[in-house]
Amino acid sequence: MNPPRPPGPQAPQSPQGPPAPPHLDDLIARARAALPPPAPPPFAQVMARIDAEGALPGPVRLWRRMSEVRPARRWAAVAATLLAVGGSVSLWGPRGSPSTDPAAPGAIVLEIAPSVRVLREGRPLAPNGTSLIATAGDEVVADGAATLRLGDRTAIELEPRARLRLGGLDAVEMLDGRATFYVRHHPTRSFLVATASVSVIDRGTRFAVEVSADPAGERVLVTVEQGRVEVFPTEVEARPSWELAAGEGLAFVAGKATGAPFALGARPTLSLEAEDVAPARDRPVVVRLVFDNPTDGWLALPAYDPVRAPLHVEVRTPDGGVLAVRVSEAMLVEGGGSGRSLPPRGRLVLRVRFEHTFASPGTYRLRAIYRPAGAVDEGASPELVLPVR
Amino acid sequence: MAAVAAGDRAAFELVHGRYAPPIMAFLHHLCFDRGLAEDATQETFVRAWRAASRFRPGARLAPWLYRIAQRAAWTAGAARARRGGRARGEVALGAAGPEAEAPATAARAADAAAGDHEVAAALREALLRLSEALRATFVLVRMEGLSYEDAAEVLEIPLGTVKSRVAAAESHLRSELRGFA
Repeated sequence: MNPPRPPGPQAPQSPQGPPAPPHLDDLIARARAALPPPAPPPFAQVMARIDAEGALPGPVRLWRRMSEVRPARRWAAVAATLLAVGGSVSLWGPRGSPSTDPAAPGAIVLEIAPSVRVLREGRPLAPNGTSLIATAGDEVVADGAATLRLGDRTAIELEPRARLRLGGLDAVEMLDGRATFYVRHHPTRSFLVATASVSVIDRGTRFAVEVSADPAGERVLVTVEQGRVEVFPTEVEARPSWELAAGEGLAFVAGKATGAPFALGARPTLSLEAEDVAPARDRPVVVRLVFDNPTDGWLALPAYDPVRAPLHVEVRTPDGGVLAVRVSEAMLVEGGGSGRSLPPRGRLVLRVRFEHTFASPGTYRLRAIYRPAGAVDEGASPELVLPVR
Repeated sequence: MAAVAAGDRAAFELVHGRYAPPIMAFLHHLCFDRGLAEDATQETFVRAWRAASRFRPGARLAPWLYRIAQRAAWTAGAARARRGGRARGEVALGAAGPEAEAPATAARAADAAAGDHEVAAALREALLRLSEALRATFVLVRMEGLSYEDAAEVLEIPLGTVKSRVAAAESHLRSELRGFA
């Protein structure tokens, strides 16, 4: 926590910045002395407003309020409330009281995999077998690919290193990484996924939300496999919203859509390059997998959807055999990390190390095979011929 | 901020006590409208409370708060502009309103003995005649004492843009205030 420098022209300036002309500083000092800035609103006044609005740290408050609204009016009410709060949407409600009673108010029944941790205020909760009673505000961290069941109508496929915060049975906040949501249609309830800058409301569907940090601001990619979702940024004054249908996606950077929704059928092209044109059989072989985005839209990268659409390398060995080597995170020398999307005209290079695949001398033929999320057919790279000494 | 994210009001009061005065000064110098600055300051801390859980550990609090404040100011100004009202005689952010509608200061500035109140009025008018972008950058750096780097973080613009905006604002203000030696 770094406090600002003391206000006023006497404050030290950046060493990189030349001082203002002295007379300007003098005038500022005289003006400040004559008309000092007014005092800020007292803390009690700020807290009174927070209490009045129920604005507690963290996004479900609004959603809980919306759950009480008649379904026919809910969407309009959500939009209106979002507009009313003026840019900083906090859908996150109060943390529930710690409880082990599934019938307790605010209790969220989770079914979790061993690779999932649930944290309350930074401390892990102990599951009872594969189930766990959580509350709004608890954080879910996936150490590996895992499925999380939330109540009786939502399943969430978490990719490794995905993090989310629970907001109730009908809402989560994606903090980092990628997750795919399977939400069974309900006539009066919908499901909300909020990130810091984008909110997604489903209508009984299957969709994925991917969040990653970017120097330009939070990057969010929303893709829909079944049904429809409504997507809107939360920090833009004029709040446009998009309805995405199955087979469509939309990317945001810092809460702003990077373009129009794009078809998920569009896919990056993939090519293979050998780092050593004639590698030795007794050493690891590094191959570069190059993704190129030839389109003007953002594309999801299939490499990071390991559960349903693995990226693998088909290897034809010198003796005529065929191996399918799945590209795992452990094989990535460079370019790893969950949750990636490819910007327009962008390129991503993954350096993949094979330890034992090329153990015999001879000529190998390689193709990378992948299937983008939402696509039914496979894509493949051109063949790479690799003579191994 | 971790304590604030957990709902610790005492910790939030410390944050408010330390940062509300400079945030209020920044917002007031953006619009020279007490009511609007108070509203935006309150909005800043309400938003900070809501967003506390998203504050990255290790990040610097001051630029984060100033960034929220700048957005809150924009929202408050835009909301008022939509309402078309200046309910308490306020000035819409980025526009010259009643407080900025005094005659040009050149004649008064010629008076070397002008009082500090006149200096303050002239500076206020000159600032309000700057574009919003120039004004926000100048106020952050020259009046609130933020470094160029922190101002770049607050305004989410490149460092070079901060420097060029400050230089442009200074040039404009020097010209406007040339009578006050």
